[in-house]
Amino acid sequence: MTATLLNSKVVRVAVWICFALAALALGQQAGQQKKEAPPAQKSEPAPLFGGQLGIRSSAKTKESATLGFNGIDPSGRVDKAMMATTPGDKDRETVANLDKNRPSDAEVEEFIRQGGLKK
Amino acid sequence: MSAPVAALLAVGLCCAVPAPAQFGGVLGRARQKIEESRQKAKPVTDRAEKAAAIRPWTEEEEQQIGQATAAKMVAMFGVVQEPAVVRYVNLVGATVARQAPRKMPYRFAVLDTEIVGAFALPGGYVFLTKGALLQMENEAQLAGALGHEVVHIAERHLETEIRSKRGSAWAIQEAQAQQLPLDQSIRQRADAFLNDLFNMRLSQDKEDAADREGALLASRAGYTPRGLLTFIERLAQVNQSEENKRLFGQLLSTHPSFESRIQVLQQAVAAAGDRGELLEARFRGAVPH
Repeated sequence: MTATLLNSKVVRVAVWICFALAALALGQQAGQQKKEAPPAQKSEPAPLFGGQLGIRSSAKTKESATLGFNGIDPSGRVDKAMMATTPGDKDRETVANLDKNRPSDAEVEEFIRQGGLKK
Repeated sequence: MSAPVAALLAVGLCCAVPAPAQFGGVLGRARQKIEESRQKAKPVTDRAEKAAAIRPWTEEEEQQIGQATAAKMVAMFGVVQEPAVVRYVNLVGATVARQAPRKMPYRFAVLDTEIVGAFALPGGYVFLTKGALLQMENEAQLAGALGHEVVHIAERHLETEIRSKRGSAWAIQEAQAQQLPLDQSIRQRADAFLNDLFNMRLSQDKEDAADREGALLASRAGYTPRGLLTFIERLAQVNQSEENKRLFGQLLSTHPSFESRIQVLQQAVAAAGDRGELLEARFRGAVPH
């Protein structure tokens, strides 16, 4: 009789412990799911000057270029993710090609003459 | 004499005799090796090493760091490649740069971003943003803005500012970078420079000088010195609209207020004399708004 009672008490305690552990596990899972939930997509404000200038860019599609504020935080400053950008071979090539855009002395002189500027 | 005292005296005598004399060349060589490895691992704190790091960049270093910084800017924003715009901006830039006190190969490009700004990088790289170009109304304004950046480069403003503000931290960083292989060293120094470019405010006197002398360069080239003044006045006006504030966040975080710049430029225009070309039609023809 005593043994049965003891047994039933032990069983009850064990059942309660199981309940408690299950509740704890469920709680943790729910918390984790909350953490893993993807952040809500921030909507990009409408571009102020998008599309006004038909200028093509080297590294962006027309759509992304018109967004124009990529990598800029709401205060207008360049954000950390943007600062961490690593240049590739194409970017280095673009920079090397900037030299080719430098006009010759003769071209500059002609430009100055046309504008009525000072030599 | 007790035994412990005698032992102590013996140890003391041994220490007083030079090591090579005691144990020959083996220990001497070992000590030399230890000293060499200690020197290699030593943090850069010596005055002499700091002084070496504080020396201005050589022209070659300036070019290499500028090139690496420019590549990162291109990767971040992309550049406008419309041939007519590229050619026009380079012609105006070259016209103004002819008047610069420091002769070097200046290169001009337009970054593909709506934010309003212009950036002067080491080695003669000048980047203007598309957002800034779209706010301009004539060639004199473009000439003034490019003149401002050319002055920053010619006077090595940011480099000297970083040295003076960051002092020994800069020196240690430079010295550590110099110990790396060349490509890593340049990349590390370019990253550090760019970080300062976007986050450090130049001293008021350097910004005032760039405004004054930038307007003067444009004036010497034959443009009205009012170009930069009217451009800043326009930006101040556009900035009053709350929805446009995001355009100017970066510019205003690293430059004096528009009001302060307008005052400086008004004095510069008065001193230079309000003569010269605006060239509004040529600007409108080259930069479609």
